[in-house]
Amino acid sequence: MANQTPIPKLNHTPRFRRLLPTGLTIVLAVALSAASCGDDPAPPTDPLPGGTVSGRYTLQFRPSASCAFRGPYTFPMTAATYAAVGARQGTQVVLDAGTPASLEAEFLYVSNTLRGGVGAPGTGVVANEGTRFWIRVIATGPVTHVGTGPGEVTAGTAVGYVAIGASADDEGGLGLCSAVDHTFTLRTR
Amino acid sequence: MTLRRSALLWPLAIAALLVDGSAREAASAGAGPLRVRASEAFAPCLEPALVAFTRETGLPAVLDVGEPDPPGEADVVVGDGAELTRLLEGPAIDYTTTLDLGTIPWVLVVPPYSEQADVSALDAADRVLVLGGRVGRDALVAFKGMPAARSRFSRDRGELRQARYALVPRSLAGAGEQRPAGVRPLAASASALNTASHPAEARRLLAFLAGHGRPGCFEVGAAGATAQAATVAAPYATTVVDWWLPDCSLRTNAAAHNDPQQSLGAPNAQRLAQDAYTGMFSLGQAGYVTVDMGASAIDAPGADIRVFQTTSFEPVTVYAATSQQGPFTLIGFRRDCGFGRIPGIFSGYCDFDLAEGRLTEARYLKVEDGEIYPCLASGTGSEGADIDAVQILNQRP
Repeated sequence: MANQTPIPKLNHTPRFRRLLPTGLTIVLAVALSAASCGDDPAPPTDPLPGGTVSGRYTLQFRPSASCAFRGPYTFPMTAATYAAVGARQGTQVVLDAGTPASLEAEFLYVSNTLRGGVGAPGTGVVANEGTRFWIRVIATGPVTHVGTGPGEVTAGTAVGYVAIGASADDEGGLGLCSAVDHTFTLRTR
Repeated sequence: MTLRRSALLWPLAIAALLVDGSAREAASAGAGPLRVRASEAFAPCLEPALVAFTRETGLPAVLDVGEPDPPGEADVVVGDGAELTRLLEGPAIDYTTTLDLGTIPWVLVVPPYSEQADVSALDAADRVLVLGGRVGRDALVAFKGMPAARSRFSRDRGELRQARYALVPRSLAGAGEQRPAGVRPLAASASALNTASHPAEARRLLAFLAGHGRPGCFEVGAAGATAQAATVAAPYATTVVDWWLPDCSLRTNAAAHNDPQQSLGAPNAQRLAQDAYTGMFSLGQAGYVTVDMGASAIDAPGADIRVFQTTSFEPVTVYAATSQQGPFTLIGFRRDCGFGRIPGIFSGYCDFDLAEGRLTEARYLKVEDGEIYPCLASGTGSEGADIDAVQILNQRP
């Protein structure tokens, strides 16, 4: 800290304050500030197709409106994209707590789209909301990213079976549903 | 979970019928009686058969009623193929002992002389009681016309028999009128477990059930067990045009089961040893194979396409297209596959109708795993639906 050069404070310079009106001072300050950052454009905010799906995510699943239970049900997940098999890239997304395979998704990742199976059979998996949840669906979702950020699915759809229950041996006890229009998101956390 | 269920579903002592010295001698060969594990659907059929077995052989037998998987301390397990998939694909079952017992149809029980055509017009207070467990959930999903939130599961056989409305295997139907449920019948098979405490007695029971002790309430040679004849020459898939397996499945499946070419041609899969097969392609978790049939299937009366699937009733999903590039249209989702049988062919099959996808013809078929079991938990070298062959039943002339 002792060798650190103090940052000049422009509006504390008496000579500038005497020579320039206050408004012009601000304009000049903004211009100098911009110049000091070079010609970098503003950070991108529009999502672009594709992106690397890797790291920590939240999977949120919403059963179809035709189901008697609506959710949503969310889960902490970890994603990894693995080396291409032939010309195919795959992505594995597993539960980031407890037993990873208690909720596992295996996706084919082509044309900026994830498509594959999401499974939680057996004793099911407890959602962040506290509900025990079972799922066997084929899920499809376009991947997008912003800037250098990771890929996410913000509007995915799923076909298949979901169920909820009160305990590990109560699959479907609180409801089950097979539909073609479930939805899901896979967002970073 | 198993312990809790066993406690709730108190094992039914079929035979405390140790009536003579030979029975006591037989019982002492292992620790306790011969134990049979079966779900509620099959219990009413097995109970009298086990009594007869004990009476004839002097060997005591006990029926534990509950999900057959996990089998607990059972010597013999009896279940529908869908209940036994994990056991059949692992080391638990002695596959050389497996015996098909027959089928039991699902019925919808309604009050006698009910004028309601289906359950969609139920009174607000009415609920349809459905047998709980794996097969009951599958039946409820497959049943058409059930109003949302108007069903309730139960594993209490007495309650199921007394229900005004019930979706149950016929073995659990009460006094009401029974109507066809339009759901795949249950198909019971019995096997000795490799961990059996009484292996010799288990084989003896299976021999008894295969012979004059076969339970009478199972149907043998039911409709689902008979193949539909192809109307024209029936071509099989000729070329693989696309396929995918997750990296995880490629690593955990046996190499011999990762070859998509095994799904071409006529059915030829065989079991070589425990969980080791030849002539099939295991789809892993949600993997798929797309095949060129070399000819076009057309929508005609009855099923148009047949998929031969080797192990138990693992479900498959089928999409169809007229072009290799698609678009592929869904014609059947997660259909239990393997229930249909043809004498002399090891694999079972399931059928699909192009009309289900509103298609009139198709040449390219995409067959996708419908089991969707987490790969990391698979514990088998043949994870996912096992595709032996794909066949056109109705070919464009």
